[in-house]
Amino acid sequence: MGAGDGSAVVWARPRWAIGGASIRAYVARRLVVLAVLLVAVSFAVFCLLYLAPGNPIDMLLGQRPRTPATVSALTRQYNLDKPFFEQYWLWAWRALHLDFGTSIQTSLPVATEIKARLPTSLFLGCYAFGLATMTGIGLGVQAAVRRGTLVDRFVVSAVVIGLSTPVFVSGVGLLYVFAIQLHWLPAFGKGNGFFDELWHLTLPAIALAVPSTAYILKHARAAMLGVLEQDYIVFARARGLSPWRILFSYALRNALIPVVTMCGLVLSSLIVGAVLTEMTFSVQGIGHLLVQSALAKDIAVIQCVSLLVAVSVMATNLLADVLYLLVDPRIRLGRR
Amino acid sequence: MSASAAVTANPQTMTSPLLSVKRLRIERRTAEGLQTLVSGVELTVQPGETIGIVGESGSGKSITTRAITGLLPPGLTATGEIRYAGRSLLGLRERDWRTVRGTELGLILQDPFTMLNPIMRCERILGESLRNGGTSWFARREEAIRRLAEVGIHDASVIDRYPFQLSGGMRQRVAIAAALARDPSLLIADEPSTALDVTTQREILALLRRIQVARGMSLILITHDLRVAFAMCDRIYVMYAGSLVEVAPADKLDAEPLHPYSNALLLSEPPVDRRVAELVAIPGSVPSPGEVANKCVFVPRCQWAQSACHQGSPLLREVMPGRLSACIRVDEIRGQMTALRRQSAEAVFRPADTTPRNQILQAHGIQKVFGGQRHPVVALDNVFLEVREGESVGLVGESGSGKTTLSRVLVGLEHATAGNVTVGGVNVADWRKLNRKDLATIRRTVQVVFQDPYSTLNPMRSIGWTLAEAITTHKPDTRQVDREVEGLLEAVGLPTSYAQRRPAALSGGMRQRVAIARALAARPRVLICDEPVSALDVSVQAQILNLLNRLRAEREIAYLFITHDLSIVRQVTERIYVMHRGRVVESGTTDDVLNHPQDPYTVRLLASAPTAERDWLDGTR
Amino acid sequence: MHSGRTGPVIAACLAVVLGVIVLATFGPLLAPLDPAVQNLASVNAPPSGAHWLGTDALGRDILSRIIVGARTAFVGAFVIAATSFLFGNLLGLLAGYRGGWIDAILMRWVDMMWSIPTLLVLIVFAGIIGAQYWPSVAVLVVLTVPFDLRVVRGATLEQVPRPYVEAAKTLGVPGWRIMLLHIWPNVSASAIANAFLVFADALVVLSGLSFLGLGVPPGTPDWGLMLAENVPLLFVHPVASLAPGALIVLTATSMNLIGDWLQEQLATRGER
Repeated sequence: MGAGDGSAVVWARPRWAIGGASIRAYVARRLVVLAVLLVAVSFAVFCLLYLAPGNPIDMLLGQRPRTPATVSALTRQYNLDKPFFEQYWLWAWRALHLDFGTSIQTSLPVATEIKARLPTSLFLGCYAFGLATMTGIGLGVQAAVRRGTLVDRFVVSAVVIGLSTPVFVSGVGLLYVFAIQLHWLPAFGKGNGFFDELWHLTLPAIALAVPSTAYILKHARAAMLGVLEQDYIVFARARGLSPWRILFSYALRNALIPVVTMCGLVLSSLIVGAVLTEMTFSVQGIGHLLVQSALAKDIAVIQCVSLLVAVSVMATNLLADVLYLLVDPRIRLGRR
Repeated sequence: MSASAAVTANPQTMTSPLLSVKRLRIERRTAEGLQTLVSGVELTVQPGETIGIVGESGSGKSITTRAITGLLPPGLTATGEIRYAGRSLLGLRERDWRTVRGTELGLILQDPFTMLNPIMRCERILGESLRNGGTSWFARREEAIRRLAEVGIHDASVIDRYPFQLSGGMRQRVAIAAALARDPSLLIADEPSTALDVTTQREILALLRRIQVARGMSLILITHDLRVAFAMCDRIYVMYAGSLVEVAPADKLDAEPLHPYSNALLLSEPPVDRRVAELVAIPGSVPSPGEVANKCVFVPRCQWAQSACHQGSPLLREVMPGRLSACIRVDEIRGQMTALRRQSAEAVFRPADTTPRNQILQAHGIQKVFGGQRHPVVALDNVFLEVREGESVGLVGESGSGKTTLSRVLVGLEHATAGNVTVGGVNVADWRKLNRKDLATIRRTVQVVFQDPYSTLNPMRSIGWTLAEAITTHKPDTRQVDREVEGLLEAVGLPTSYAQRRPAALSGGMRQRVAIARALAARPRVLICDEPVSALDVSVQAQILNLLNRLRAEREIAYLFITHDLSIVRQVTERIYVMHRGRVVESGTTDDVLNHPQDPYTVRLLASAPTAERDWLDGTR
Repeated sequence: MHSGRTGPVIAACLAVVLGVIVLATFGPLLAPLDPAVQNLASVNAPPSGAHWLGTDALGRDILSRIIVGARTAFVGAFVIAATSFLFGNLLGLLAGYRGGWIDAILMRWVDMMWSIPTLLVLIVFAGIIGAQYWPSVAVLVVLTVPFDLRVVRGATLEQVPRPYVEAAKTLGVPGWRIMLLHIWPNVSASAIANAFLVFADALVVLSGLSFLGLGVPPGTPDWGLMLAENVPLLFVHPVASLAPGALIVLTATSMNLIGDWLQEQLATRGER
């Protein structure tokens, strides 16, 4: 009886029709907020120069001799004779064109220094991110499904240790065991070509991935445990659906939704970790550059790296939120 | 239906039941050892028969069905014998269960809001369960739409919706369709209508019965409501504290229960059609199975208990053809149980003095809008209400009718968008502008008893602390606080030693008594009771209603009694307001409104209130 | 049910934390040798009777440096955990109970600090004003309070709609009493447990800063700094850098485990 009047609807399958407009509006709103935040952050970063104790000229001079010629050159280069807000405006305008001034350590443009190191850091970061998500989610789900068994207890203990192990300790430990004692993997250096690089960066990537893995694992396990207790799992089993279908399209899909929102936190933990890893393994990346610049008070480089990190953290958070919106229909279509 | 009832009149002589359960025992493994949850359960279901398992919370009725479907939570084990069409189900491997669940046994759970996968459209929920829907996507979709029509959903666009876009009743229909997708011959419905509104509840039950008849399927209905079981089932199993106490055909049980517990349960159900002088309450609260091991489970609360009842747990035995009871004294006390029922039916309620008195609580043109400007939700629309000194006023409505919001507006927990409230002579237009003296007057005038007994008391504080705070807040210079606390506990019928206890050591009914005592500490003239008994077991519910009636007589307090249950409102109020979608649709004396309802909504509400009559479910879609 | 199994582990954790507290308080008295004295006659020495854990590149006794180094590891983390516990709880209760503009402002702060890479802020800070221990601790407090605040606010929001809070409101119990005497005991489990997690986190971040040479001044005995200084000795004398590293992990793990355990213990208080 219902099939007759239903056939017209059979072909009308609204997939994204209901949610599309609201998603676009949401992203647009978030982009505006992002732009405002970016201005605020860039202003704060610009102010770093003035926060430093002493004269900005002295900061920018670094180890170079203070002569009228160098002073006037710097004054001109950084517009130090202009009013404060005009200085910011000119600095921001040049930053938009990727001109952050010159490093006092190498006298090279900051952008050049960054460009030379960015690929290594990105490579290391992606490598570690891949390791962390795969092992974190994989083991987290395993532990939840086998709740209370030896496997679960082992994984849970490993999580606590992983969360409390800073990258520089695990890095040194890995170096000692795998590079010095066992000679399995190279201790230092970056390697040439993709596979050699992969080989050289394996130890750093593992060290870097440890805390993030523990973090993802902890949340994936908790989310999975929560989902497995839900009535809809019992109801699915009561209908005789296959365990695989229940595990994947019921448990896993629901459990991963909250895990997606952690992307921003994982990224920030990876960024912190990357600094320490690069120092531990002497990898010439952005983190290494930042620490050297902090030790040398190389303000132009510090400004550029801060801005870079701020932008990537904000962008990742936005991405995570949009992703959340896409995977969870309850948010996308609005709960009644 | 009548045919199947006749066929199953004597289950003992039947051959090859569809499902038979023998000596079922369910235990939980804990650090202290094995804890028994259910023991000695025996039941049979014939093809095409509907049986009911009736019991209060903790009776073990739900986990019995989980054991039958092999879905016991981790840590619980079942022993005994469960046979389905001759095949033993206990000890089946998970792989073999898949050929039973869904195809032979179907199960639907209580809460439609959590039963469906929230991120799947209805089409997939149904489609993945369909076996013979055809291989093509189109054929399966057509079949899914047809299945929705079977459960009364004729709007085919529902198939493209997510569960959260549907109402509770719709979700329960989709769940029923999904559970029936593989055409099981036995459907187990675990409190399928409890989480729903009264009017929806009746529709869902009628739907289940219609489908059961149309398919010739067997049905096990789990419920806490005897009236629902009478209207739906052929035979009824009464469970208490993990054991079966009585088994009987529905009509026979209704006419004469043969176990003191069934008898008391029947008596403590407040009737919807008349007001009784006093409800017959069962003293005490439901024990855990461990507390009543090796004796009759009902012993602690039974007025006929003797020393023999303490010796060993009695077995179900046939006391009359087709009737089983676990009471060893049933033959001696049968006459007394009957007398008790007659006495309760004949006792006439004498209405209290109804001379008009001063008004103490008034709501005037209350409007409450939630949400922003873009999506306003009108919760209350121009509501007028008044309560006079010493009278008991009912506020009746389903969830979402605005009755609770109104009560919160009356005490300032929520601020009205428009309109004002007069409490004890203080006119409140804006709660934030009240001075200290007026606020104190309001607090002394009106207090609230909330619904959920489990969070109504601070779990970290002792009962004495909570009551002492209420006393000193009301009167900071109270001298003998301890004495006052004891007085309050005695007034609500609790031992004074309970002052030292934490809420966790108290049962739901006791906690609700403490909550009443706390409200009384301020010596209010009006008590707003927001569904004070709806979270309690029926046997305890009557105790609380009797307590409220007694307190009113002793202290001359007025009540504003908020409830969805018409039979309760009949027992405790003289005047009622009926609310629907934020408006008061009807008001008047309780007898007038319930005997001669005028508004169509009130008529529908009255028709939906469960009665034991089998024709209660007729006439719905 | 868990207590039986976790008993010895928790006892060990408590012992570790107690040991670190003793070292942090009485370290200089307990150290066998002066941690600052250089003995160029025996540099990079492996463990021996005179130097149980050997010496570093300047001939300083490693065991003594580890014992004395407990102070910078513990004190900063303790100050951070305690200060942000105090502010986080007060502000979290206020934000959750009162709501409104207080909540809106505090939550903006939380959002801003939420995904900021903490150590990076400290590096930039040290790069601008120079490497100093206590200013870094102060910055870390500002970055950490939001974590406590968020936990307490979330737990408070769960309690506020419960009838026992509403009943107290209707009785006319004053707001501060409801917040401190009614709600706080019910959110304290998460708050106290969180303080231990914050401690472990602060310990790791501070020693990371020292590892980079941006925390304690050069020459100070500090676990993070020792780890960095002694990495070149890995080939000849691995204990020199592995021991302080192991202590950081041990202390942080103990704190984390005690936090989890306390949460479990405290959360069930209301059920007994």
